[in-house]
Amino acid sequence: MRKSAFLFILLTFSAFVAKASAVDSLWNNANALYAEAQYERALEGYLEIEQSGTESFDLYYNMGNTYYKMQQYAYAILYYEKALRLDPDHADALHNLTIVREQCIDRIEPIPQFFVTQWIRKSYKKLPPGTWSVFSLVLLALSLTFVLLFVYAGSIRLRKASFVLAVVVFFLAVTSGIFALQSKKEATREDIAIIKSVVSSVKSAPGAQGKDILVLHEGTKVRVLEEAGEWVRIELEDGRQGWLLLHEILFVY
Amino acid sequence: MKKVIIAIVSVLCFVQVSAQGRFSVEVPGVVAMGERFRLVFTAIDLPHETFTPPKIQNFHVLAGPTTSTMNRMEYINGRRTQSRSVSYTYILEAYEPGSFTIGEASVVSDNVTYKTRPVVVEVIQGADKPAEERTKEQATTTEITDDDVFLRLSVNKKRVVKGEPLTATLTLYTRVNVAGAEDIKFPEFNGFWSQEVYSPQQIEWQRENVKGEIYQKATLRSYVLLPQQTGEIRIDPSEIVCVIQVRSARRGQSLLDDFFDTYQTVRKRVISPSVTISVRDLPSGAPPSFKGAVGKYSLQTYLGRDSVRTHDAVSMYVTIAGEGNINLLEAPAVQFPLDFEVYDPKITDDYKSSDGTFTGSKTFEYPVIPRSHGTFTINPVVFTYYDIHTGTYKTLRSTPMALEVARSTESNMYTGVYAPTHRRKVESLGEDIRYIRTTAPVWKKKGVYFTGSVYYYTILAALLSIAGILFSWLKKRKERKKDVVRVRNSKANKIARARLKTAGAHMKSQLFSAYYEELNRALWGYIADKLALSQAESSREKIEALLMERQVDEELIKKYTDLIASCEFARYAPDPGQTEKERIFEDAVAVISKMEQVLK
Repeated sequence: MRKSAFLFILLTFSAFVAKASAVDSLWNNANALYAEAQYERALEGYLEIEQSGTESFDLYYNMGNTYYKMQQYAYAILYYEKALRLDPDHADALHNLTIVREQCIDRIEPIPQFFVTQWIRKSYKKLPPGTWSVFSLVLLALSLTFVLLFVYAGSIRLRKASFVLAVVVFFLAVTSGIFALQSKKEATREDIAIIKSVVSSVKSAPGAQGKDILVLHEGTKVRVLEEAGEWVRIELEDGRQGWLLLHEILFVY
Repeated sequence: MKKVIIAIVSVLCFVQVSAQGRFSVEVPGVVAMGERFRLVFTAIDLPHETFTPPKIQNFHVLAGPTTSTMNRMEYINGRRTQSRSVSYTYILEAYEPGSFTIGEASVVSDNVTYKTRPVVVEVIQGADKPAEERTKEQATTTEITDDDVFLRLSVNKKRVVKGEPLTATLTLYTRVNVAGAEDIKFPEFNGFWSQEVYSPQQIEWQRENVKGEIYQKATLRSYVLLPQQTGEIRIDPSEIVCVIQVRSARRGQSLLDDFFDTYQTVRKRVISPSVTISVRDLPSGAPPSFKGAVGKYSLQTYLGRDSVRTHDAVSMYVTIAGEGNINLLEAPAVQFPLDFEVYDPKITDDYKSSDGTFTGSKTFEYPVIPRSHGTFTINPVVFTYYDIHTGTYKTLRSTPMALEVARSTESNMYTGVYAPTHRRKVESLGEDIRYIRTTAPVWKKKGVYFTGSVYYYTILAALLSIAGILFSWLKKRKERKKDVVRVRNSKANKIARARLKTAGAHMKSQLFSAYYEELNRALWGYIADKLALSQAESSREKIEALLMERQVDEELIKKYTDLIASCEFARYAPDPGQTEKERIFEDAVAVISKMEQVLK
């Protein structure tokens, strides 16, 4: 299923694919440099690909690895987060992210969510948005087929079965469609950021008059609630809030 | 158990003389002006020597060289050794102050020339009498000043890096007659690792010039110190109570007093000044293999055996030789192949202190037991030390070593009993990120998603419209089919009546077979039209089933099918007669009209 999604994207952006050979050679070079532990140079290659407006899960994943090897943990987390936006349930990326987080100082206990919400979040994070979309279209086609069968089938039994199937499959199609939209919404969020500076103090108000209320360290994930000049209001995963300088964070998008 | 016999006999010529000869010079380093002193050259175990005297300038030679010979023979545990020494003695007198060099003297023995080094003698003007004699003059007073006896702790370096060895020497200086010492408190070296390297049983006095005065100097203790902390470390003072003999001044001197001196014992506490050592920390940027070794070292590694069998022990030796804080060296980490059982290293020391540092070697023996067979490579041993001279970290690396491990032959020695192989849990050694992805990915444009895009909705719309088109097409087809059924249904009675009419005409004109055929067709055709069956589909069973489904009276169904059966039978049977034909005709008309009422 995932392959078919990729195939679809491949076909749709065929004009774009023409450019891919140059990108592929950059990609191979950077990978070779990484293998030789020349991380700075490998990173240059990856950044060039990224700046050309191309992306893929693999690119972000490799960049995360490179930054980790260069011990720039904030950037490593940033790129693993980016990779996970394109493939939210990738085992390797999740594993590496856990390891990088071990290097970070701040331990933040997220507010526990209602178990149904948690379960739904977990479900739609199982697949990337594109795959969910393809799923929804295929399921819809299947459901419509069952509707036709239900209406025009000769035997009563077949009609009964196709009615049930049509309803179930239609429900699944709608669910995948919603999951796709939700997953995409999650992947295109612009309010998630990572703390970049090694130590940064969170103030109660923007500007100098603010009192220091928290000290955060490199690699901590925050949600940006609003921006005011060079200050941003952030919220931690445990719900605490404060103001930070804009240049101390990296946005994940 | 030592039995020593010393004999001063010159006859014992048959004893083989050791070839290891020595030629040395002995002279006090400091003398007072006008003092007479001895200059002695000693040749030990140099047979048939010829002495070439040194050049002596700036001194008066009062006597000499006088030659004296000493033969010595000793038995130690039944072994006899003999030595012979010849000494040439001069009596010199210093007449002017300054530092003067007494040139080299040489001895030729069996065509080999032995030379002494030139020695420097310092002549001091200030002290016109040597120390031993002064004590007599001081007799008038029992007052011992701090200048008369003092203690010093000298160190060879005051600025060191952490771990760099230095020597501390505790020295007693005196110009009075020190008979003994009590209540000695030696220094405690807090912040240092210390080791006594010199602690004489018997104090040896030497002369030394201290600020123009001749003092008797004795080295009490000597230590090698290794700083373990950084910063300014103070060495606390040490104390000695000296027992000094002073000639007592007595009133009413008698004549005898000059011959029999009476001495008085005076106790004097002397305290050494404290010394502060400034210890710098080692520079940053130490490689991870650095474990505090400071000095200058070399590294050597070797294996006890090159090839072993599995489960046999083999040792790897790592020898670190050189100078520095050898005593504190830690065992370097050796990375053995993962399937090796490694035991704690055994450490063998071989070092001594010299010139304020330790020189020698330390050998680490790592016993290992290979648990699987194959050819293994033991990774290079990495040892890093801080080089004091260059002020840098230096890393030594040994060459990787190969170890051949053959399959053990002993594994099957437990006869008949199942010997389990060494199964173990696989343990994680460490954690790292997973490796990068290397296959070429499928690239997509940044920020472009299929979900919610035009493409998605286009496909959605296309699906729905395809479904709609299919739906309507199927609906139309059904309609059309329904029409056909209705037409057939409505025309069924009409056609049946027409056929019955034809059949009636055939009956009248005595066309016996055509009559039955027409009647049969009327019956079949009517029911097929009514039930919308094609000719192929129609059979008596099917018709019965369909009519039952439409809840037609069973009796009527039976009548109808019987009628069809009798028509078919009659077609191939002999003519049953006019009355029978008429009866069947009437029956057919009645059944069809009855059926028409039921089915409509």
